[in-house]
Amino acid sequence: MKKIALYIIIVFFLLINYSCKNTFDPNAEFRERYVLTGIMRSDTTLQVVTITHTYRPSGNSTNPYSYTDPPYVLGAEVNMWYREKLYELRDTTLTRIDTNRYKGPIHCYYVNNLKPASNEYIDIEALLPNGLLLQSTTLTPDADSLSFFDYSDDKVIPNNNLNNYIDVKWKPLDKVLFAPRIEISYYKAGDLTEHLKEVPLLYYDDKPVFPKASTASEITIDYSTIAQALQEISTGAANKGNYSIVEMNITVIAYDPFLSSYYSSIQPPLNGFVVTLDEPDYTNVQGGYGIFGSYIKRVHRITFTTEYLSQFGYH
Amino acid sequence: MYFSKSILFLLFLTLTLYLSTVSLIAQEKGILKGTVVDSLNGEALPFSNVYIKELNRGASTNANGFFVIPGLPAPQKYIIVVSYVGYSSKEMDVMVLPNKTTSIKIELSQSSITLQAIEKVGERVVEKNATDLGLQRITAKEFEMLPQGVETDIFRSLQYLPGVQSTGDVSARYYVRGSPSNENLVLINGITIYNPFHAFGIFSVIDPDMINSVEFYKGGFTTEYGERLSSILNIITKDGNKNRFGAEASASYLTGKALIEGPIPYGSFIVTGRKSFSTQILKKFLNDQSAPINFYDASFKLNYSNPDFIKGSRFSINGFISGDRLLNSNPTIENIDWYNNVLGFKWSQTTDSPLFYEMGFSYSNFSGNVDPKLSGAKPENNSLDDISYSMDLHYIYESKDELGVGLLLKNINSQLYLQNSTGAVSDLSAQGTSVSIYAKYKFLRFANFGADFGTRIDPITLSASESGAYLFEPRVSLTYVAYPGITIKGAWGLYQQELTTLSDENQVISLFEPWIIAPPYLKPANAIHYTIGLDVNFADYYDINIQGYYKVLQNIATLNDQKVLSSQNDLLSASGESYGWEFMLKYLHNPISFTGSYSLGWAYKNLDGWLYYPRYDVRHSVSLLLGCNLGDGWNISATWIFNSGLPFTQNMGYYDRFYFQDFYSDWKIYEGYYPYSILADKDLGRLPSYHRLDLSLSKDFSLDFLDLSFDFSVLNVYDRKNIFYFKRDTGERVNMLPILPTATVKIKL
Repeated sequence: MKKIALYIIIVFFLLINYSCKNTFDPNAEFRERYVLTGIMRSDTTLQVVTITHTYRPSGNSTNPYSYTDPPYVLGAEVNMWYREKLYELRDTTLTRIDTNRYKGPIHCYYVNNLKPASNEYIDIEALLPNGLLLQSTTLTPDADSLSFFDYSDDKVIPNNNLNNYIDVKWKPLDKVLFAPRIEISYYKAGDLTEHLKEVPLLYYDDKPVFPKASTASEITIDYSTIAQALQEISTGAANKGNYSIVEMNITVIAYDPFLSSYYSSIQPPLNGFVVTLDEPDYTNVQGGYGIFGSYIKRVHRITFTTEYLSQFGYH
Repeated sequence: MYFSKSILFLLFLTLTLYLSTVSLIAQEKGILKGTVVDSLNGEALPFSNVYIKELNRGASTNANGFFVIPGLPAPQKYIIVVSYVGYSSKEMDVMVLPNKTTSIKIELSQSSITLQAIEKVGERVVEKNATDLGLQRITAKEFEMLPQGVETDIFRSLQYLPGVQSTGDVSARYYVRGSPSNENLVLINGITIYNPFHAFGIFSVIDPDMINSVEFYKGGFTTEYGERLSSILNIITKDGNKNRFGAEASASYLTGKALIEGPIPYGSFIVTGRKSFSTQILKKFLNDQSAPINFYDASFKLNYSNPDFIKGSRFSINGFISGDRLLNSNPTIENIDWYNNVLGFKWSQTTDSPLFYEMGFSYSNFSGNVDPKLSGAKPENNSLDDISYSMDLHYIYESKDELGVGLLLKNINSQLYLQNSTGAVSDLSAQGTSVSIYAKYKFLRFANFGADFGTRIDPITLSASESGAYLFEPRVSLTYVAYPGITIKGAWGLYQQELTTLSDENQVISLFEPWIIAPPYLKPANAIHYTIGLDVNFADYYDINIQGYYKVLQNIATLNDQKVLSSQNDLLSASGESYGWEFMLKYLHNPISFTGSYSLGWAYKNLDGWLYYPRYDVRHSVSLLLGCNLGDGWNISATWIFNSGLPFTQNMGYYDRFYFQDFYSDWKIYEGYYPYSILADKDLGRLPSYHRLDLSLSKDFSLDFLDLSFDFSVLNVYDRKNIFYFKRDTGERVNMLPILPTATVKIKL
């Protein structure tokens, strides 16, 4: 019996000894790939695109932050087509503010005479110095499609119904995410600048909770939340009569379907408990990675009654 | 058309059975039937051996502790020997009369020197031609001897068996012979539990204190089981103490548990409950993250057997509930919860002929929800309702041959709404009814040869798929005793599965696996099993078992992780193949018990022409369990597990990915970039090998009217840094469980 026990123990420790010896490299062979990133804005003529390459940390490190050479691709020929007109992008450099990781300037490509309208295609092609071609297309969202429903009780606070909230709805769109923002615009006496106070969806433990992009096509705000935001505008001010409240704006940005999918793919997982290892990279760039997207913005305006504002000491 | 054919087939078999009964009664022979129970609490002892010395013949008890031996020459007095793991064997005289059924109740006493004193009198005679390839039986007594760890867990215990794999310490999910976990059927008293996991799959919902015995088929299972392609785990719960009232309470670092049981007129009851009270220890499993998980499970069983009501009848009602809740009052953090609810009724009937049958009616429900509130998380709602009716008839001929027929009716309503990582929405809801009939004949008349052949017939299937469903699922299991102590076994079968999960095989920790009826665009999944085996058993104190298998899988529902548009299909059809060898040695000789196993396996999956190793493909696997009874209530055990590296997808480099929250503030396209890894071809790399040593020391003792038990365990004794995964954004290596001491105390009244 003792012999059997001894044999078992010897075999056991031999197994442990053998099994502890192994070498491991989590990396596969490095193959350089390219990344094009551009979001077309309808509120400016300046459109900017970046092109970078993939990299690998030096040595056996798996920490990507140990790589510190800026991964820009210079010398690419970048062209965009809009309404059948060619726009050639030029490269430029910008001063880097955050130099913790990368030093030196930021390199990007730009065009400063393109202000896309809604519901229009924009094509992009980037011919890299090594001959590789990156291509993509975006269709700017249709401005008419992002329309607020016309309800009488979502235009003034307080409204005529008995609810203690205001509810604003807009037309839902397939495959589109909406990112709303609520702001109160106001002036201070002697200051011609319009100020904006961002209003949260609600306050939780006195901390504001702001809306996030989602497929929801409705936003509801309690009057108590609006009241707290209004009070915060003049916190510490001796004379609240110096404040003049203009209106409350609900702005909604609609991402195009590609940008919506991209936004979803970059969100962190639930709570961090769920661990997904091989999630696919979402991209609409042929030949590489990245995103070429667009968005539109619409505003719904809500006014306050004088009586309501006077509760807070405002005009 | 199919349905009427199947009914005719069933009628034919029933008629055969009736005629066989008539012929039996005409002979001068008698029948011996009975039950084997624990002498203290009256609990049935399933799979115990009843051996007739004079005839060198015997039988095993079924899950209810019931046995029947027909065709005994009568009148004659026989000496029968009854044995069961962990119990002292018993010898008794029985008089069998001609044309009569002699009923006996055999009470066995627990052995004072625990498991090491297993007496297996007659087992090699009783079981030698049993057609049980791929079947592993675990009794409550054997279960008690396994290392406890943080929480004793039946699913983790299965992972000591060759051919059963896990993907790490963090998950109790198990993978059998190269198949995904959603191809494993988990039954409690024959009722399906759809999502048997607590705490993101870290533990199973099955409280070990409610288990009487476990039957686990790794493959090649015969026709009485259906619905899944890979394995069957049938958990039989305790009936409750039939002699006196009792109570138990225990506590570990994670849960508090209680059990009450006792007699009722003509029966017994048992109620168990378990509740998490501290989840601090879960941080060790979740990379030091605090998880506010709150879970519970509870079960009950009520038995009634009144000979004045219906002679030979036994009625039972059992229920089971479990729930996991991650509820946050903070509206910016989502709520997650999932529940199982099960209720079942069973009528088991024995007769004066060697016929017994069971009829069951059950309801099983699973629901899981993710309520994102204002967190921005993806909403997910899944529910599944399963209403089932089953009937099983079992007849044993004088020749020892057996006939089994059965029917399973199911009505399933599944609902699922979710969004995937790219925001694509899925709404998968379906309702279906299935009718499945089985018929089998066990050819056991020759001492050295056994055969079990039969088929399942599926005239009505759940799936709305118009093609591809099998009408027949034929299966064969053979046993041949080539030489005393050497048995050769083989099995072949066709299997079909119509329910699937919309689970992401890339998720190593998931919330819950949503179950659905396979959508109409997918054919029902099917598999063919080929299994061979060799049992070597020249002495009572050891067993050697070798098995080889080859499995082909078709139409495996696999998550479409490239789905970006809601109009795209959620699931794709994949195929798979797995094969391998398994070796197991059991040595049980007081005071040492040792079980060693090794498996060598290959698993492949083919999706859209791309062949890859699934994450549960483990080439080499070793597990060693050594236990020693030190006497005076002290027991010590050591467990060592080794797995060669799991497949993983290597890192091909990084790119700087553009992150944004919104486009309101003064955003710039050239800012807001963070690294993200680019993955190489799927699962072509291998992680380093995994191994872990656990030690456990326990002490049982009595204090006045209390029985006390302490267990102290240390997991991962030498603190092996087993890799779990690498984070894609930071490249950080995340390891599995570090060295972890745990303790459990149990009080029994």
